[in-house]
Amino acid sequence: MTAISIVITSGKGGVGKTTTVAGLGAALAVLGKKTLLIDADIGLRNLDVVMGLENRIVFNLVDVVKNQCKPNQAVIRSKKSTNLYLLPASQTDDKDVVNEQEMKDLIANYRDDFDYILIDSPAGIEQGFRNACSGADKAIVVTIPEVPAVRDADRVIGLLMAKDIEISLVINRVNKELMRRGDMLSPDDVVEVLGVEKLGMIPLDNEIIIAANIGEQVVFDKSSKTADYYFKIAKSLVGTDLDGVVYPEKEGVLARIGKKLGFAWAH
Amino acid sequence: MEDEGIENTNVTNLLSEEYNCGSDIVTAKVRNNQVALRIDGKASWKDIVSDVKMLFIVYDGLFLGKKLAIEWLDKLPTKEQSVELESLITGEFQVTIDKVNPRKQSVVTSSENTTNVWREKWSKNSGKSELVEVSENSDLIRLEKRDSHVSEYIDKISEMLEQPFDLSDDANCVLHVGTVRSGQRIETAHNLFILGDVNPGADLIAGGNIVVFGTLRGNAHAYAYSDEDINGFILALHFEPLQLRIGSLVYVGNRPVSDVANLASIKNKEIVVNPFSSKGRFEMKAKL
Repeated sequence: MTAISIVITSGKGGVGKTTTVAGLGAALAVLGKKTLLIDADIGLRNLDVVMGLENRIVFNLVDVVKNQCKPNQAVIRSKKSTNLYLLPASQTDDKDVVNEQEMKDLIANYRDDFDYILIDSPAGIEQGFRNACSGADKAIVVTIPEVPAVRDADRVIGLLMAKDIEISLVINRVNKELMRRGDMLSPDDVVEVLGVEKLGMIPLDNEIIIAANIGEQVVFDKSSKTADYYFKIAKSLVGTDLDGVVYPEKEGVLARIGKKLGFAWAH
Repeated sequence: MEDEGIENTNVTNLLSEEYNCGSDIVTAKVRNNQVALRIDGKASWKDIVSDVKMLFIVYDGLFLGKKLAIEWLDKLPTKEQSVELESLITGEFQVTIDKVNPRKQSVVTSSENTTNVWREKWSKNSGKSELVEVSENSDLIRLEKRDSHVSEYIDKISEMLEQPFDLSDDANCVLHVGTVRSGQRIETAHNLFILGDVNPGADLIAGGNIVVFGTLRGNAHAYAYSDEDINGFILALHFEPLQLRIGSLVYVGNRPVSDVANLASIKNKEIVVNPFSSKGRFEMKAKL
């Protein structure tokens, strides 16, 4: 297997990149894909916290780059799935400690062992962002339906297009109530400005916030309805249909039909 | 002027003024660490060369440590003239013309080389048209080749404006196809055509008029290099700009979204915005 590497970035900070990386990674793992999550936010690492693995870190990606450990020694397996792994960032360095070529070489170490490599990019458009994008085959831009975030997403999309990376969009924190009242941008408004294909959307949901705080993913919670949004995105990525894959049991028949007919809010 | 112990950025901020010097024909516009050499293409070649020489002799310290870009106004030089001038500047005066990438430089310098390329290769009949390549380093947009739908749009635009956009020998307009994103900037000394959207945070700067065949949500500055009485316009199918400028007049965007195309033009020394229909309600006297 040769991994497909995807950078998840946004420009704006705090829109949910890390949570999306963790959720999407978990969904891919449940779907049977061996997935590595790389935290490229050196100095401000969060992916380990969100995955509940911060007390298991011995080596990190800077150690691998500086040849202080072997690539496999720095990778930590998730507590919930044997298909999900994390390569944490360093907390004591800053973004200049690694350059773009080193990142590319770093990712090359893992391509043969995984189906998907998701790279959690830092916010901004500087060296950290550039590092995260080098070595990526595709990009997912995460944004929220708020004007400042969309502005930053537009900027980032322009930069990604210059690098010739295939881009798709995930809209996070969609608030159905505000949207219905016309008080908030709808996902369609966002897509209209950004002009990029929408991969999926994730609603504003307390479940996700609570899970992130205790280091878990809603995807692993069998009773969660929110998890379906992550599964939908994962399936779009994987591009297959449901045969041969364990379908999350919680989805009802009506919802399944709704999905097939293309209703976004099938629940 | 670099002082040890002071970061470059701080020094630049202190010195960050804009000023002009030179003659009527050849003006050097200095901003931060960039110098734009603006040359009036309508003047005689002899005058241009002698004014350039004067500028470099009198202000020889001006160009130290700065990036030089050349801009041609109103008329472009021939290839020979272009080469002569560039070798004068780089040879006799030993000033480098900023060429991180030769093509990039042509667009910055009001596209004298690039426009010539377009004139040669643009052909409505063969339907060839130009595409946009984003340059990450300077956020300038450059052109390449693409498909044939564009010529249909151009015809439509010409029809709407009741003024064929002339891409023949006297033509001086720049075409950009695609969305201009936040943080990107297109600059030209001529008319500017955008086939696509202009997102908030994007800048369009033209020496002539601007037409956006799409949604204008960013900033646009028409007749950016003129101060005197001008008769420029900015037209967009969906008109929601943040800010518009024509010459030295400024318009702050506050219009609600409207369903029809809108045209911003100058009346009584003010920018006025009106709905635009192609039934000839407006008479456009485009200067170029």
